[in-house]
Amino acid sequence: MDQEDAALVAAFKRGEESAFTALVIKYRETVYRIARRMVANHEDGADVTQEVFIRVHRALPRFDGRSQLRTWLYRITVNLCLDFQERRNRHSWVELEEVVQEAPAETGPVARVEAQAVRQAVAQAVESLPARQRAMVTLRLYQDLPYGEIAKICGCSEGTVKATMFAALRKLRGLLAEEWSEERR
Amino acid sequence: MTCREAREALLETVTGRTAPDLRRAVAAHLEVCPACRAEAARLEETVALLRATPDPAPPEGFWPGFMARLEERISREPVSVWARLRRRMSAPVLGPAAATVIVVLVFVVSTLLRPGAPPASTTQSQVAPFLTDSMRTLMPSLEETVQLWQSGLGTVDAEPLFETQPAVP
Ligand SMILES: [Zn+2]
Repeated sequence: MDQEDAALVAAFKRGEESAFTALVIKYRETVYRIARRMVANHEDGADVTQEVFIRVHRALPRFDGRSQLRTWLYRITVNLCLDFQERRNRHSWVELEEVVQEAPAETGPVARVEAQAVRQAVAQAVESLPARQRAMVTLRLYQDLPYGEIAKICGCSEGTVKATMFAALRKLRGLLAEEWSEERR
Repeated sequence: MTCREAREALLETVTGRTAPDLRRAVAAHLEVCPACRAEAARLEETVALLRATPDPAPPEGFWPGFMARLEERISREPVSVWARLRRRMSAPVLGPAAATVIVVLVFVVSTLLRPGAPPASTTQSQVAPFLTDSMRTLMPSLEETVQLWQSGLGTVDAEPLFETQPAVP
């Protein structure tokens, strides 16, 4: 395990609550980013993030350090997002308005409109992926995790992750290409 | 390198950092294989588009209050006393033996405090069977502690452990 994480876990097990605070501060933004790419809006992402750390606090005394703390934490995050998504299936994925609003201001109105169109198209395409594919794409493309670690997080083989990623990227490419050709017509 | 191997390697080279020798092997294959070259170009474009979306960030002011809200939620978690006790007791120096001591102590004291429990004079003999050598080594004053608890908690007319604060006039 990462040495800093191991020290924090050991301190927490000794009863030092400040070690938990340190862990939360270290990981909360990444957990939020992963969650936010998988659920519909900020409120849901915030709920998932809080729930992740409640579960961590509950289970950390039994954490045996056989896997990386990070892997375990992201596994909890992805599983909660999948649960959350299942319960809210009627709701669409990421709210497009929010994605567009989050875009930083580009220079010039033309560039801004184009950048927004790209983001919207990408968000829409990612939204259409099945939840597990979305999780894998998020962990690989936005968190830069190795395929082996993604396999542990998602509870499947590395081969499955790679095959799924390939399928997901092909599907996304198809969707984006469609979008582009429509726009150019 | 076969096309199959090249496609698998492309997943590595296009979406992450790759060891230079794998990168070189893929490049060599792409040079001679137009089909994989086209695939690589499409994958690269797709990944670039996907990565162009900014990292989601919460509204301003979300993080400053996060820890307090989390702690508030955690404080409402059920069965925290035992969880906390177990966690405190699992410190590397003391380990599970100390947790056992506490469990036994609680058990012994609660047993002795039951209505109709024998008088305090038999404490030693009652506690003795529960005390192992490792527990005595760990907490040399264990028997004394049990006796103290007994006299403090078990007898009706025992002296209060703390003086009650006199009422402010
Ligand atoms: Zn080829």
